[in-house]
Amino acid sequence: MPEQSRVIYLNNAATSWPKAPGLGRVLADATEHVPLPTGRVGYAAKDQARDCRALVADMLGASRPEQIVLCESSTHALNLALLGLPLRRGDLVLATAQEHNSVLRPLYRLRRLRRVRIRFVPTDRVGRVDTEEYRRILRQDAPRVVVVNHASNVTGAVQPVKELFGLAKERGATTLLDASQSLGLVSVNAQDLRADMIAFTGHKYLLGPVGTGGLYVCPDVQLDPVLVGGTGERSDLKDMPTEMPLRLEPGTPNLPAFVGLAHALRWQRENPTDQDSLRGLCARLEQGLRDAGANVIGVPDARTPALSFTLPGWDVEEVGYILQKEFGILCRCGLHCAPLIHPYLGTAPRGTVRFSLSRFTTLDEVECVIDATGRLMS
Amino acid sequence: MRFRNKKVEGCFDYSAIYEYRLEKPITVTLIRILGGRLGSLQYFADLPRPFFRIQGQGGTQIRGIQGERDFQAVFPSRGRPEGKGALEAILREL
Repeated sequence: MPEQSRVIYLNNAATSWPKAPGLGRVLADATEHVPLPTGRVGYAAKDQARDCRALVADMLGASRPEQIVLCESSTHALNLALLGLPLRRGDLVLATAQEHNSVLRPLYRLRRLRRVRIRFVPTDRVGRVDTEEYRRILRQDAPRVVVVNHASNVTGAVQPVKELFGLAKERGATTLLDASQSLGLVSVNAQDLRADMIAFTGHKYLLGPVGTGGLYVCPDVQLDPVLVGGTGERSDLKDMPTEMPLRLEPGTPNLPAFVGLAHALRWQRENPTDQDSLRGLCARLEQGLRDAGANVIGVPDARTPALSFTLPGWDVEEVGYILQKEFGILCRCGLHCAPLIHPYLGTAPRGTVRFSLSRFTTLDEVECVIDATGRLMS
Repeated sequence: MRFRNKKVEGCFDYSAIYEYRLEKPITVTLIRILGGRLGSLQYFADLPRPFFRIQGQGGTQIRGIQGERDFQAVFPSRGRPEGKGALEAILREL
């Protein structure tokens, strides 16, 4: 591996790098600070968890910070949501073919343990949900829950969630949005999108530390706790307290990490991403890869800066290996934990090479990546 | 030749990827020996450092870069012990 300063990091859809400026210092300070138990010392301690919740709530358009459950990842949040809903034998969960395993595996577990039915809406060849098929399924069946990944982690296609969830609500479904790949890049407002629950992660496009994420839960949705244990409050009860978010947050929280996430959220708020510039870089990368002979999955309209492709004559893992070893370019290759989407993209069974940019990616880096990929095709 | 190996991340359940670390950098001679003993060799000289790919009988694939101490071997689930054993026997002989 080249030294860090010479790395071109295009794996931001897995985890972002660099992080929000100053994050390392904030994490170190938070770790070294005497841990005062907020609930016991009153005003002597700042409620760091509430501070982070309030920032997230503001971002998602939630009316109260208590609607935000802090978790270690969006996988954790999605498990809380899917396994915590009172689903029973025969209930239908409608999801899409572009879901991540963080949704698929909890759903398979629900099918195995509770005999829940699952249907997947197909996507088109760029990973966007087939809305006609979605409507057809909704006409013939009434899902209890509709789950949609806001943006494909494979192709970057942003889904028409407002339309999908609007239709789902007309059928009485509870709606769950996986915003792992979208929060920090595109607007995610619970009311606007008609999302009853939103799972998110802190370490991707929010530029926060790993080990952070959360779940927005609207007041109408009641979740059974998936994990139970100590809460520091209501210790006399044999079950988890009913009040949110305590009900879903047993155990000692990773407060330093959430202090870090709060820092990243403030930094992003004060330094908004130049979306036009990011779109321009994505477009340049897409065109450059096409010119080099790559089969690029070009996503029209709304998209994130994740871009997938294959190279004729090369296995995707070889491409990743060579880019890393020869050119210091870090990317991701394979199925990207989204196995159901690839037949629709025409990339089964091996998957794709994925470049995922961030607000810190430069034009020079994009040109280097195009040049390096072109060397493989020459 | 002495070597170490460790399993690395892979997306597919039908194969296992191992990274091998050798005691000295990979030479063109070593590449030719591995290619000759294990299967068909493809050698890409036009990259900054030559890349090689060996398609072994039984589905084993080897890929690496001349001058590095590490290379990767992908073993299919069927015949994994045999493929891994064959590669490591050659390395030990060298």
